[in-house]
Amino acid sequence: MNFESRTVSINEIDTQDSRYQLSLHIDTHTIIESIKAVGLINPPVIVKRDDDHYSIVCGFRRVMACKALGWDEIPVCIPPRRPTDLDCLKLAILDNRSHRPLNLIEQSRAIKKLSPFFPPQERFSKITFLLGLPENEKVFKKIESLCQLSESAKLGILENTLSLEAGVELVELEPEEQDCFAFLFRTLKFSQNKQKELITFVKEIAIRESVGIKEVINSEEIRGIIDRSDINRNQKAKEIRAYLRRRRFPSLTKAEAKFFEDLKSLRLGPHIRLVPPPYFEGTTYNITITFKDITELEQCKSEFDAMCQNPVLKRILS
Amino acid sequence: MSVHISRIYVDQGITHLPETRAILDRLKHVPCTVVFDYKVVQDEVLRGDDPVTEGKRVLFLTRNKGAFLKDCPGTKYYNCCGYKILHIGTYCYMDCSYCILQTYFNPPVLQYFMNQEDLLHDLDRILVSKQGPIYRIGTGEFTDSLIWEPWTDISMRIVPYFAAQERAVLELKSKTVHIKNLKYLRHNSKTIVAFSINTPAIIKSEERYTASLKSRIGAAAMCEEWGYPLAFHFDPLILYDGCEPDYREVIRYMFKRVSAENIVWISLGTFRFMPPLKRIIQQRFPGSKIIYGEFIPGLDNKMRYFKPLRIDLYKKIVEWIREVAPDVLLYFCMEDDDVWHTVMGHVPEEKGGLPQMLDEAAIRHCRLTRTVS
Ligand code: SF4
Repeated sequence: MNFESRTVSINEIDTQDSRYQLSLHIDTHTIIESIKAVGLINPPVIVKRDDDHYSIVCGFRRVMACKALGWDEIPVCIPPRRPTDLDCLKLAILDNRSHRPLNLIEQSRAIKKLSPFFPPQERFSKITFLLGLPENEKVFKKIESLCQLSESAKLGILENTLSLEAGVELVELEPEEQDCFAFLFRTLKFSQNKQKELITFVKEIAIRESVGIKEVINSEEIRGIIDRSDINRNQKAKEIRAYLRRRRFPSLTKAEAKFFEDLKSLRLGPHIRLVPPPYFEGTTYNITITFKDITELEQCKSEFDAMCQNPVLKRILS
Repeated sequence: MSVHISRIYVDQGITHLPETRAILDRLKHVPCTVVFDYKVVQDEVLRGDDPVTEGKRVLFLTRNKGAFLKDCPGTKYYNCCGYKILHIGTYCYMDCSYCILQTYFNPPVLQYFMNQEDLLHDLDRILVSKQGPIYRIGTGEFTDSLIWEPWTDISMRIVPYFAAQERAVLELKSKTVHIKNLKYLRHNSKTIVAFSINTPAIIKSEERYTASLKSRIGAAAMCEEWGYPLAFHFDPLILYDGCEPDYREVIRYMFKRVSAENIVWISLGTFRFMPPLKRIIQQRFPGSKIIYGEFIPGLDNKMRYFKPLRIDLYKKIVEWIREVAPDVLLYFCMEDDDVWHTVMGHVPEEKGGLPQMLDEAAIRHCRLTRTVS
């Protein structure tokens, strides 16, 4: 496409018109410095609307930066014939992708904006191709759903404090509930798996106890853990997970605690390990004995004999 | 009943059977298509957003190309009852949130097998001789036993068949009250009419389109009047706030209407499910809370309530039943020796194993003859 280069009054450009905008936020900070230093090297692409104002196709940051710098006029590129909305979107996507890969939120916004232009049976393949996404329909649907996240949850995705999988889990929640999770995950960094686990715990506790999700996350216990100054972020994350697990599985966690208490009173040394059946469902316990030499083995044997005589072991196994 | 069926597909290989015509006559207001290939039905069911629901509205009359008799799929660790399944059809138009059939077939389709000569032939193969083991055979594993009654003559074929032999009992297990056809059948006590039982709260929230508790017990009482031996299945027992007084009331009501002497057995099983069912329940029954109990992965990979919780509820239910019916055989569906011992005070092995315990009960109530082969 041969673009016409020209200069237009900056006020004729409608910076509120976001129909071709893929990025969530327009951060002009760095670009202002660059324009101040070397000027506007790459003019934005705009198209004229029926009301004689212009919509931005590519270069939102550049237009905003020039506006912030007080420019009255701005050099722009205008396509020769008025392109279709789909063409403009394609252009915006290609322009963005030529500098860097689109982030998940941009991909999600692009899917949403492109979808009306394709029949359902072609939507997946056409959009996947345009965005350079892997040909995996499950992943496609996950990315697509991110559009429904609250602003702060989207920010969490961009900052990498909220994983794609966890984001998908949040989509069905109310925006304020999503915000609560986004805040929690930003405050205490959780691994991807732990995020999902935590969301499941909270959702299920809310259903079990017929309380709101916000009520669970903002519980005194969780707030208390976040506010503690004697433990670090990782420890806080661990404590919160343990608290939620206790609340979700009260009987199981009580049984585990009782087992570990009993285990302590068995006073086993570091060479003998007693492992209960998973979830106490089966009846088979495991004992592991580790030793380096015969002396250590003999030591283990007397410890083992003592353990067998200990009434606590009977209690554990009863 | 037929309101649930929106379309009938007929396998072209069975269109000539008089039974097929009889069913179509009874459902004549439902549009019907003859198909050459099951795939047509599958595609139709899979087309919608919710194939699990769609499959309940589509009836496929076909032939069973496999065996009609199958072993109940037990597992090594938990005590299995050694039951045989008589495969009359698949799936169900009722809609229980916890129904395992939602995940069993892909997609699940309401299928009814028309080649009943083959079914009887399969039964003949194990029952024709007067000598041999005792069999307990049920139709309520891949479907509800009695949903077919309004459209088919299935009970009229199989109940008299079982009545004419001495080595097997047929168990018809249901959540419906379609017992009308059973009234005048010669059953010779060889058919046990069984009802799955739950509390009114669970029936209301989790068992869509099933008969109420009162109707089920009423139907059981009626069958008892007609001389049928009865059975009850407290399965799945579900833990919820207030479940204990509710189950106690169910037991009280049950024994007010039916006499313990005519009950062959009562099974107990707490809710358990394969993990993929969780998603299905979340999607299809968003208001259901049953999957949010304290479930842990069992040794058969099914999610089960944490064992002490199961034991607790079992103990109470067993005690309440024992108070009024000390002699009725109570058994657990898929529980380990630990649970048996803690709750019942013995393990099946001490009484010859669960299959033998059930055989004995069947012999006693259904007048079977044990022969040495
Ligand atoms: S009645 Fe039985 S077969 Fe029918 S939906 Fe309920 S559980 Fe499934």
